[in-house]
Amino acid sequence: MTLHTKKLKELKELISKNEINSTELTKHFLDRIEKYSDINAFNHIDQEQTLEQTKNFIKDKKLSGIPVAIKDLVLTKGMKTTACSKILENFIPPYNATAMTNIYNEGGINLGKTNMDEFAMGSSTEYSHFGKTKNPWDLERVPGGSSGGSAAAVAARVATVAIGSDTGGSIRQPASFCGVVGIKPTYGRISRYGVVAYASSLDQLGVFGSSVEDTAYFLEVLSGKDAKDSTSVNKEVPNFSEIIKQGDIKGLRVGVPKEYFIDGLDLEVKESVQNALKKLESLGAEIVEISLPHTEYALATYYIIAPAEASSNLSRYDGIKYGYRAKDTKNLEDLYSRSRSEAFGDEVKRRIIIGSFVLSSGYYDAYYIKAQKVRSLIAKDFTDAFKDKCDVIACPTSPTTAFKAGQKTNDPMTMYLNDVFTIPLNLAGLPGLSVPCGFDSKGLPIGIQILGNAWDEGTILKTAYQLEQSLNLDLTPNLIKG
Amino acid sequence: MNFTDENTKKLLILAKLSANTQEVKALTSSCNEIFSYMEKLNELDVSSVKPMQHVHGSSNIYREDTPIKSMNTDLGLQNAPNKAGDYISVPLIIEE
Repeated sequence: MTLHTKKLKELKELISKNEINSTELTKHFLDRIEKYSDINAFNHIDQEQTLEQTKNFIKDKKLSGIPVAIKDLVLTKGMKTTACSKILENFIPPYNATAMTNIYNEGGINLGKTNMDEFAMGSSTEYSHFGKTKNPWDLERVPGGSSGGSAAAVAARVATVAIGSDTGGSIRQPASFCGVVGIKPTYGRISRYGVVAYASSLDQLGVFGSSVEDTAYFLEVLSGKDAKDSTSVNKEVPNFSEIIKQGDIKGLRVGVPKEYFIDGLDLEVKESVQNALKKLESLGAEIVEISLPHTEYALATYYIIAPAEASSNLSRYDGIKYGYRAKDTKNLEDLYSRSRSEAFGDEVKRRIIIGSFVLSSGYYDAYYIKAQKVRSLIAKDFTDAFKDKCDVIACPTSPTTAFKAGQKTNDPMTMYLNDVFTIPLNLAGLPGLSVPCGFDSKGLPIGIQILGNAWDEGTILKTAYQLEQSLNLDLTPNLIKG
Repeated sequence: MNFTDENTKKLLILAKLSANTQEVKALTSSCNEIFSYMEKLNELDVSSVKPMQHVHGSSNIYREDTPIKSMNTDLGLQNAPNKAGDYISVPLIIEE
């Protein structure tokens, strides 16, 4: 039985009818993780703990007995959570993140922790303390990042669904590179309690699936207000996996921002996205050109705000209470400084320095406050567009398909430019997803991004579902065929 | 702006980090490129724009002040790199 190609609801049905038990199902995925270990999608697996969970889970719930992959910045009680940093390499959380509690309350099984850029700072999953993750479509190439492990796991069908996090595109860009579906919901839709913080005003958990339906279904499990996270919002959680199948998209106004079709956009990506737009039009949607005039300022804004918040968030890693502590230190100052310097990677240090600078006296107004003002303008662009011009926005997810490993690690600015199409949405706190829309001439997947108004994940998922059904692409990498 | 090695060294101290000469030069060089890119924001006149406080405009969020059970000491200390009894152990702060 090819269990790894089944949808979540099919697996649920098999388990509820006792045609397979959770232990067999979970072992099937653990065996596949082992078989495709070259991809390095997971940085921590504890077979014994995972299989123990399969003997005692909550029955007759949405995920009863089904294993799911967890990005290694979601705290999992009793199972290592490292954010793929040396500073947390032996950290065993004393409590669960609310997202994890929600999974357990719905009967889910923790399959293991997926690889990521250290503290989610990166766009290629090459900045992990546990080695880089490879793209299942071409092992020479990166899976995108920072949630590259989760995206690669779903692409290689070593997990049915996976949790990711998206601060500036860290779900949508790897989804695009790996030929899977990935959604970042509205800021506040999923609790951040127990999620290792990078930039708190931008961080948002989300999910990956090999289909829109699985993605929508898993999103339902994670969503909801949490008293432990004051930034989570009390909004009703719609039945996303049912909404996507209701009605059609006739008359839906799809805004296409001209600022996203710029120099630097790969021609094959452009063509594939334009074909997808034509497909949406053939399904009854109305394509309208719109303008998001401050798009070109988003990247500079992000690289002020995100490092500023990171420099503050990462000050907690001091070598005292938990995490790595340097040996033979002379005094307390030496302990702080050496513990942090020996255990943080270069990219993390760079962002701490940038963040410390833009928050420092004399530069705070010129950089940080200015960036927060531009952020207001970027958010207003979206508000204006959704007010009377369009219902959803469609654009490329990334300017290129997956690039080769090592190609951009020596040039931070080139790496940052990867996120030019995903960052504006985080600054505005809105929901967005990436769904596969074609392939380039090298056979690498291309994703189209569909963005929505606040709390309107239902409409973007429905649009993506219609497109997915209509395109009917074969999204199985050659590596796992046969 | 011209971001110098002196800027980097000062920020390393503020951020409780240390770096050798080569690392300082590498940080200065990449930061210079990044800060040059940020100057793009100077093209905009934002004098009348309010800075973003929260994407949904939320301010204070209140909840009932209900007592709940807190984490026990053993669990709270399980990740401490060095401990003595029920305490985290650190190097001496005040000279003997």
